[in-house]
Amino acid sequence: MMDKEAIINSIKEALVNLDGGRAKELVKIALDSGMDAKEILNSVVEGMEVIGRKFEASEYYLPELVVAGDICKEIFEIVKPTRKKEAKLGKVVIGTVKGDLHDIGKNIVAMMLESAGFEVIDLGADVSKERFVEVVEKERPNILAMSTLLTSTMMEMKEVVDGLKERGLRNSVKIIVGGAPITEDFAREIGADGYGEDAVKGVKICRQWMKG
Amino acid sequence: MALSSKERVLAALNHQESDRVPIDLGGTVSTLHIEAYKKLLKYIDVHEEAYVMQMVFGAAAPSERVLKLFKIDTRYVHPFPPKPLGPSVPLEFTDIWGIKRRFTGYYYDLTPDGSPLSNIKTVEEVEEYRWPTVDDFNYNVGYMVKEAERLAETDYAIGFSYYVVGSFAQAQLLRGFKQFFSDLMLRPEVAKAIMNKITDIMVEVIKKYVEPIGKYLDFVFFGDDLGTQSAPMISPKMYREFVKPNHRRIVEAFKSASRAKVILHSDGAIAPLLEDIIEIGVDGINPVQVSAKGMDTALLKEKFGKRLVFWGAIDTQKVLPFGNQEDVRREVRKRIEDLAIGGGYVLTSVHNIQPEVPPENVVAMFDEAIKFGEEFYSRRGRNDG
Repeated sequence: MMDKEAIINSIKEALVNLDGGRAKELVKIALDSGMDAKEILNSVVEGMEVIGRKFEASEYYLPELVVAGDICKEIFEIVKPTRKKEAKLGKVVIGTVKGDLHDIGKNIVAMMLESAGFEVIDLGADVSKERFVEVVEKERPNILAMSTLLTSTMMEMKEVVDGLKERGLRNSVKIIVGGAPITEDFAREIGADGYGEDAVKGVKICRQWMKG
Repeated sequence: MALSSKERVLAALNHQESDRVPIDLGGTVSTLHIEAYKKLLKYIDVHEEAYVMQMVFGAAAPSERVLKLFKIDTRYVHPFPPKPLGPSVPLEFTDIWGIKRRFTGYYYDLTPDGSPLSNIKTVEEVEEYRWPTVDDFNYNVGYMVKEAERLAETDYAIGFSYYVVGSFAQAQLLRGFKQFFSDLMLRPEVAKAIMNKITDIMVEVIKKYVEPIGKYLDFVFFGDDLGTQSAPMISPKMYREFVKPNHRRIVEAFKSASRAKVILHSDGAIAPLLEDIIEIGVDGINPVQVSAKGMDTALLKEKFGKRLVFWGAIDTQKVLPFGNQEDVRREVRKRIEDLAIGGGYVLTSVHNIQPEVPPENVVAMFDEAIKFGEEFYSRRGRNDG
């Protein structure tokens, strides 16, 4: 019988090695032995951080990233029913802005936020300013996360920020933006609170906000 | 003595210097977006209707008058006569592969449910899919031959750049990005079956539509995006196993259909794949996305310059849209200095010029390319002599 730490490390290792079958098996063992869902998900987040670093170092590429994301999702589905009672870290509304159908990066961030313990409301791609504002008003999230890949749709992010201002909702929510053309300066210029240079950094910022 | 445009481009393609660095505009992936083209026409005070050659990219077909004005050295044979952008452009359409696209302002993007193979699981299902036949492409061969014959009477280098798709990017559209990348890891036989099928079709397309104009062509493009901003999408090992055999077949089909030099169009950071790309007989790469990681032009030239032609390299991610005219001129000089020594460089923008690009920057790019491209070679000629 493996001890707790060994199981946690093995889950992480199986994920990093992209061995989905092994990872799921270990998660079930962990749950059966009464381990906390939160601990299991922490190992998943740590594993994803290692995968993120491997991606940056060109050890892993997109196929590896996609498979890792799928494994995370499957683990999450196994663990999810056991953590109903748990308090969430916070609520995030996320989406790709209007005019842009790209959602790979956004999906990775959404999944990592969920693994990190956030409740995530994913509005998908090509989301209008009105829809963002409406959902923020209704759901009252802690964080709004917006993504775009295109220079031609970057300014939609400012539209959303301004839309929230008009409705008096701007100060009720932290805003983080990300995507290939986005920079720190741009985020500041349009009045966002943060810039996620990549998924790992974006999730880190969101977690810090919830601590502060 | 001044050379003809054709001689100039051929010199570059054969790694020789000439009287100036050749410049290109008007290919499917080296033109202006139709909105950028309209702005340019207005700016240079040319009162003409703007024609498109390809709807998905919104790619303009620059007129002969504009091409002459900028002293462009290349001309292209397209499968259909370019036509004005009608008032009734469809909002959504399904192409002959079964891929659904929607107009999103500037281009037609894949719709979230647009990948027809997203639900398949087996190689048999790949085989059973209603693949397009070569006839479905319905290129106007009569027009193509006439155009090629007409261009052969001119002094220009003649190219074909229209939609010969590589199997890697096309498979992503057909299968869905996530599904396809997951196939590469978990269902390699499905990924291979899809890519094989695409290549089979494209080889037929080359035989049927490129071969009849083959003897007129100086260069051909085929497109397969392999890179992201920071790295190749897949490892070099995976490229070798999955993509390279398909690319080799495309290159061989082109080489048996014509004597044209074969240029691979791939966006992104692809430096780690270039040795393999050279090995299968690719003569040059486009668009040389200089803003991507590892695509430093001086380094690329040093490592691959004797074996590979560079076609493009004027930055469209930062300099052309956000720089001023002096930034653009500096960019042109830098790329010529980095890439044009010993020939092997055809200058144009990295992919199509987008609507945000100020028309004065487009003019500055070509103006500097002519001036400095000539000065650079004449200075080197004097030094050598």
